[in-house]
Amino acid sequence: MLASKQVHSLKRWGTLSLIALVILILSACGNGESNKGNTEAPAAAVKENTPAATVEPSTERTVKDAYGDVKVPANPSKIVVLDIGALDNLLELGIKPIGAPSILAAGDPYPAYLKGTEGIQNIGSVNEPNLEAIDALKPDLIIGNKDTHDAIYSQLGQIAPTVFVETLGVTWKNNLQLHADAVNKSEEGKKLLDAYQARIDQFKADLAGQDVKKVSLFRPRADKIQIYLKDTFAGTIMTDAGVQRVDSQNVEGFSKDVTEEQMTELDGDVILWFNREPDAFAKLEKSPLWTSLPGVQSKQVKPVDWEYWMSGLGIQAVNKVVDDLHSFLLK
Amino acid sequence: MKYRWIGLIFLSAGVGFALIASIAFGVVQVSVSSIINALCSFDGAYDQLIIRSVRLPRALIAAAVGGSLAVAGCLMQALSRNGLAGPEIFGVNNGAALAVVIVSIVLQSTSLSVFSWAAMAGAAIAGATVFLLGSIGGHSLTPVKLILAGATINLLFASLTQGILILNEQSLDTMRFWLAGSLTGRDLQLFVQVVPYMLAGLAAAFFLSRHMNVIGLGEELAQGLGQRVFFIKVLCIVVIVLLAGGAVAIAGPIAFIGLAVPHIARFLIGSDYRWMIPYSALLGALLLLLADIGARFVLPAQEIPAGIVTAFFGAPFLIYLAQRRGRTK
Amino acid sequence: MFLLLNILVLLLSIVIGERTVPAGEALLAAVGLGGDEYAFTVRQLRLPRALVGFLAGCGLALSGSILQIITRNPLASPGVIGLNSGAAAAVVAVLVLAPGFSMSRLPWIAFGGALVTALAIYQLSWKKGSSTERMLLIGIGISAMAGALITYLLTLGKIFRVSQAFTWMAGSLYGRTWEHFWPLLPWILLLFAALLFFTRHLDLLQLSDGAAVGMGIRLEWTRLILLLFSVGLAGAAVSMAGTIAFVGLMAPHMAFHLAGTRSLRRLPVAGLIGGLIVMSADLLGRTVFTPYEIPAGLITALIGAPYMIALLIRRRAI
Repeated sequence: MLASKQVHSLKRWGTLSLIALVILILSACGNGESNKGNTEAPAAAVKENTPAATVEPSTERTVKDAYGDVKVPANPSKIVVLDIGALDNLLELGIKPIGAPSILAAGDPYPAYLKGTEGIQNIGSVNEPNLEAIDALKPDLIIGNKDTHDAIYSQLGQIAPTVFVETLGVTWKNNLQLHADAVNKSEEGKKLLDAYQARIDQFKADLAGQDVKKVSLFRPRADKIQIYLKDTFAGTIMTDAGVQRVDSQNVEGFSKDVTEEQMTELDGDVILWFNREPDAFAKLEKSPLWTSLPGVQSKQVKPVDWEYWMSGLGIQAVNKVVDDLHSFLLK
Repeated sequence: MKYRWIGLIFLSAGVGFALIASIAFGVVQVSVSSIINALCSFDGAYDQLIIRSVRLPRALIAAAVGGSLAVAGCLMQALSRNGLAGPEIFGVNNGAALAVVIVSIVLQSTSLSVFSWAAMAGAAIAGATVFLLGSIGGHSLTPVKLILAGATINLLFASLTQGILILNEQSLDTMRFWLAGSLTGRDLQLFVQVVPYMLAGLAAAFFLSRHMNVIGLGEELAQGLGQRVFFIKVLCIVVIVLLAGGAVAIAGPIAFIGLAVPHIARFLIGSDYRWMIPYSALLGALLLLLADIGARFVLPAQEIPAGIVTAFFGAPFLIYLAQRRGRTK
Repeated sequence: MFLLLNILVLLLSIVIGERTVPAGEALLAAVGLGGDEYAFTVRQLRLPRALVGFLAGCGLALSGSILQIITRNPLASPGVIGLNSGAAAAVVAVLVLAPGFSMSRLPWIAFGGALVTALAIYQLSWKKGSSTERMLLIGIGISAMAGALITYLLTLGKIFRVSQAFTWMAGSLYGRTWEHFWPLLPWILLLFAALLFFTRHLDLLQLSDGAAVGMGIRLEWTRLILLLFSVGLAGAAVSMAGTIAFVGLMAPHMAFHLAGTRSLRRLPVAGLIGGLIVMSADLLGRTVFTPYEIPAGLITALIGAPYMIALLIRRRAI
């Protein structure tokens, strides 16, 4: 009895000391990490200790992103982008990133409207970029956005300096400028924006001479219809261009879900739609409510490419959208 | 005897009212006159189109799916002599979803009839697997084993579906569609395709109800009374597959109707299956219609899937049932 | 032996991946001596991810062990009785409705969700004497309600938030870092250490209530404290790794077969097995189907379901 009790307590101490040992080891190898990638203030701590970028101080610049000031290399040459907006913008600025993600699933091709994507390493999907693949590329700059990649921000910061825009879509002009700043092409960025403004002003002037056509924009999906309102990527461009939206869609906000019976809200003098699910529009088309819409009857329904109307989010996509608006609204 | 007829009439009236309410209420306001016009003198006006092409089919789908699920649950409970049997425990939903996903990938087909057949086959396979697993080991189906087998198969099939969708590069949106259990935007042609099977199933269930009473007494006794037990059991399973599989094929997973309704029916009129089956059919239709109406008004100007409503109110019923069983033991 | 297996899988976890790191290099990198080449991949990506998986597995396994002992029911586990879904609903609510909530406080939220669930179950079921059937049913009911609540919350939320919550719910260890590891560690360690002082109580509870009372144990109190431990362990694990299926059920079972009934041996073994399962599942999930990542929770379900079925077939009278 006594002996077994002793064995018992011996075992207990053995277990406890084992645990203690494990803690010690863990905290030993963890502490080194936690100084670098610490939990409390990842933004500040991470930036200082960027291990990969051993650049001279004189060749650094500072840009201001969604988290504050970031030091980036003067002329970054190995850039990894984490969203299609950045990929689009950088290509237009004449820079080919070394790594970029696919929109939906790892390994998918890049959007067809983007030229010159050959040789870019695929790094997973926009939602879950593969961190190991990014690290293996040894980038000197990473460009992402806070809305999608906030959770992996501190890890990315340890691979290379990171520049994050706040969000995607409505902020595309600021994003373009920040992307241009980050790669030391501020002037080119500004030129692109000016060119856009000139084009849009011309478009507005041309549009003024014509009958007003109200535009509807939505995305039919498997279980609902999603109306894209003013605070979307395409919505901001239409607002800039002075394009009139259908009254029920002329409101702030990102999107609004409607069911079949609210079909009147889809009607317009020009009806634009895009989606990624192939069957959803076919189903909509069969509904007698759809065929009863005046816009449908006068054959003003135009499918548009989701790759740049919805998921492009960069300057090339913007210009493609303006092209489309030209062909739909101007004669 | 008489009050049962009266109850049946009341329930039918209730279903009628719910159908009308389901047609009348929605995000878009529709006047009473256009409802009447839509049904009697249709002239193609937009409001009338809404009634005819959206609301009426939706109400009919809700009634058919609710009734079918309830009757399927009723037959399952009779067959397994187990008050906990129901489409959700038998893994019918997840089986159907898995089968549809596999078929749509392997055959590269988007044909609706293929989908509905796949859904029924999947439902049948899942149900049979759970039933077999639950009855393995000599003893007849014990509740615990049934529930365990059901929960396990459900999880396994759900995981497989999810895995296949991930590997097949589908977005989460597609998955959400399968998990939703919504009555909006359901395909009318699919409904038209499936509804004959469901009606046949319902008719067969009424025909079987007399035999179910005897089966409920136990196999030996039933055989003693001259029933062709095996034949009836097989028929019963076919009917269950038609009803539950059809319902899942149209509306996706609608939880707890098949489990809860037979209990409510039993509470109302006792355990005579000749009455339970019609009562279940009506009650199931009524409850799903009400849940679907409720789903339109939970959020302003936006709908939530009816399956969420039934789960939220059905689950406490399951818990209540569990407690009551414990007490009577 | 399990310690060795765990170390082996941990080693594999830091060696295998997008690009294979030589074992020696990986080890050096892990302790901070290697060159720059693999330091980040090993120390910032693979190591924390594997360790978070290990801790989460431990937590679920220990939680399941406690539950199986105090209910004297081999089927009790945090997943089965609905603790996991309760915790998940609470976390999704916070992720969707209160963006910017600090990560390190998430275990508390999950603990709160699991606690509410546990109290509900206690109120509904255990008070009136434990019955397997009732416990299972109530678990299914609670999981269904939590599931409905989660779906409802997801339709409310902003699109970016929702996709994050989705990934998290699938029980994926993607992007788990030291930021997840450090908040989780004290929960698991402290509760495990505390649990070791209750091994005698657990042993006695396993025999019968009478025996426990005879040895001077205050039954209700002990049960309540142990239940709280179990809730804390499961909640913390779920908060950092999402809902990972079947681990809380399988690991205690295996531990029972391998290490017997003595809690002092059974608990650590269960914890190690649980950690082993989750870590291996994550390793498989991220390497087998590259470039796709299969969430660890999905892999454990694919392993766990057949295990469960085998159990059903073999044990004729559950």
